[in-house]
Amino acid sequence: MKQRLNPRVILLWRLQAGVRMLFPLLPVVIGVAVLSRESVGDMLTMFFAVGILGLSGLKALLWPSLVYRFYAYEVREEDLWIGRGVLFRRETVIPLSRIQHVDTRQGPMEQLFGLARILVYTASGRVPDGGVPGLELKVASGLRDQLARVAGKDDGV
Amino acid sequence: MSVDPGGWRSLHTLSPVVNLIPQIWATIRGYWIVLVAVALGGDVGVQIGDLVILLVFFFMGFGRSLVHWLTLRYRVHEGALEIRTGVLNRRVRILSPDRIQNAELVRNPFHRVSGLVELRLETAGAEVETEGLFSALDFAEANRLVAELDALRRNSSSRAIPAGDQGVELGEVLVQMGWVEIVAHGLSSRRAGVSAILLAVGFEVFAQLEPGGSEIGSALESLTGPMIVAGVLAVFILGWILGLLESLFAHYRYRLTEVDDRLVSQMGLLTRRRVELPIHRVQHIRIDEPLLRRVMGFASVYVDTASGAGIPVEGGQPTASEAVIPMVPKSAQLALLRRLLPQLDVDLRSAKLQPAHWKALPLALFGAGVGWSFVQLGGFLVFGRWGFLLVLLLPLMLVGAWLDWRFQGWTVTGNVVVSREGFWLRRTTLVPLDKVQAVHRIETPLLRVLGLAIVAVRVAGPRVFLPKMTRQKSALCLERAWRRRAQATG
Repeated sequence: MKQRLNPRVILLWRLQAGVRMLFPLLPVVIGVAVLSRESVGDMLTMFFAVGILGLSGLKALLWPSLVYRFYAYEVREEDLWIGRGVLFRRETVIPLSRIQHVDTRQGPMEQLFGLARILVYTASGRVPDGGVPGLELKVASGLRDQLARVAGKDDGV
Repeated sequence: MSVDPGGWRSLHTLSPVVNLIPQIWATIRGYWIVLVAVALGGDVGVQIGDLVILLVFFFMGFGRSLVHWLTLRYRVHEGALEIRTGVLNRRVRILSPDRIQNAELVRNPFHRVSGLVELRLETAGAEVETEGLFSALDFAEANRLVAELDALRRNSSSRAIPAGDQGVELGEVLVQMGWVEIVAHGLSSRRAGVSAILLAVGFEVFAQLEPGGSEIGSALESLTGPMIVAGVLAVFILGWILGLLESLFAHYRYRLTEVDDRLVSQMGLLTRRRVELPIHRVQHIRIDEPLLRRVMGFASVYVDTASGAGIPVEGGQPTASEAVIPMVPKSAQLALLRRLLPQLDVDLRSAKLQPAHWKALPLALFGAGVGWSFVQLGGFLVFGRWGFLLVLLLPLMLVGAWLDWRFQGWTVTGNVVVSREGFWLRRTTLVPLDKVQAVHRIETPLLRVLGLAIVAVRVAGPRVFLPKMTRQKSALCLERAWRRRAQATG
């Protein structure tokens, strides 16, 4: 049965998106605001900059819910299925026997929310072939152990 | 080579000397612009400064060779190959014989004169550097080491493979190339890029020589039709000659043999290469048939393992394949493929491949149109009003896109995934199902509107995209593209 992520991940993603957005954009908006007090043209520039900031904020607010809606995973008899993506949908199937190793990761904000993500590696490269974010730590550990138990029976190399 | 009491062996004493010329060549290639500056630019003081910089880079390279020779020690210990390197940063690598994907013996002219060889042992996932690199070993020692590791892998007694350069070879010869094949390969190599560069350089030189000005347009005006045709022909002939020379250097005395469960390929005029790879390690096979080569009745076959190392062709880029079979006659293709991939259960000559969906055609035509508009824009920028001649490219590009779409195909049989693309350069890819690492299904917004999807199959190394298909078929493909089955399915 397809499993969903922990709903707390939506808030986590919103915060992460907000932080990512504010660091580069806020100084620009402040800079434009300071420099554009005198002419109408510069005021338009400021409105434009504030508009971009607003749209980015809106995206940071709404987008995570959509990402959450389309993210799912399922450990099946012989493989791991992961589905994700809002505009660019992507489904991945990783045969359990091909899994080389499984990582569990928790960034500072994920720790704050008690969440973790797992990354699944096969022999196909140095980047993970699949990953599931926004799992409760206990669930992530259980999934990691479950995958690690069946991993590498036939690595296909 | 010396052996110490712990069984540690070292590189041959001549190692730094043998590496000297390649090192100089690498310096020249890497810093040619500095060399040009030394030769042409600045006053004497500046030139000496540039030369000093160049010498510093050269001696750094030579120093690395020296340190490599002084510090590299290796031994076969407790069933594995141990390699120790480094002075400040000591590094010990342990390579398990059953993880070695392929072994390559390289002999440049200096190796050949001194009776030495460079041995490269590749393991899975070694994308950045060769895990086991021995820059100069005695030829017999290199063979002994390869045989010893192979014996450990098989857990049986050691048996050396006779060196191909000695003219003796056990095993069955699968493919060999004579002069006819070398010439045919050189003539059918894709030289369009080289020809385009030569043409551009030719235009530039001509424009500079034109007394009336530096604009290419005015230079073109003084050319007569036959002169242009002759010039373009000359450039293409030059491109062919370059291809011929490259083929001669890279594939001279090419021979592919099967020794027990391994493929052994040997080739090269100045630098001889011998690559050994176990057949069960084959991850991916690519069959390239450019139109001209197809008309001649040949194809090129590229065999990949999980090492992803690739063979640098002399004077060219790495081929990104561990074994290259440059010219395979059409009649011998199936037999060869069955030797490379014993589980192959499809005859590519008669197999009915699933076509790309018809809705993929407008996308292909649209892509060609967008590509042409960029070319046209560039044409106006470079050639001025003469750029309008590039309008003639549009129908050609549209027909090319249609042909590419028309001749795509895919199938998943009981044992392999087959994908075919392209018309001018027909490329067929075979992936054994038991090597598939992951399968991805991708839907972009536009593809979703059209009800299409793309399936990408990943093996240890490359990724293979199948032609665009319906969502239903792609879902089926996602589930089946890695499971071996008794029955073939479409």
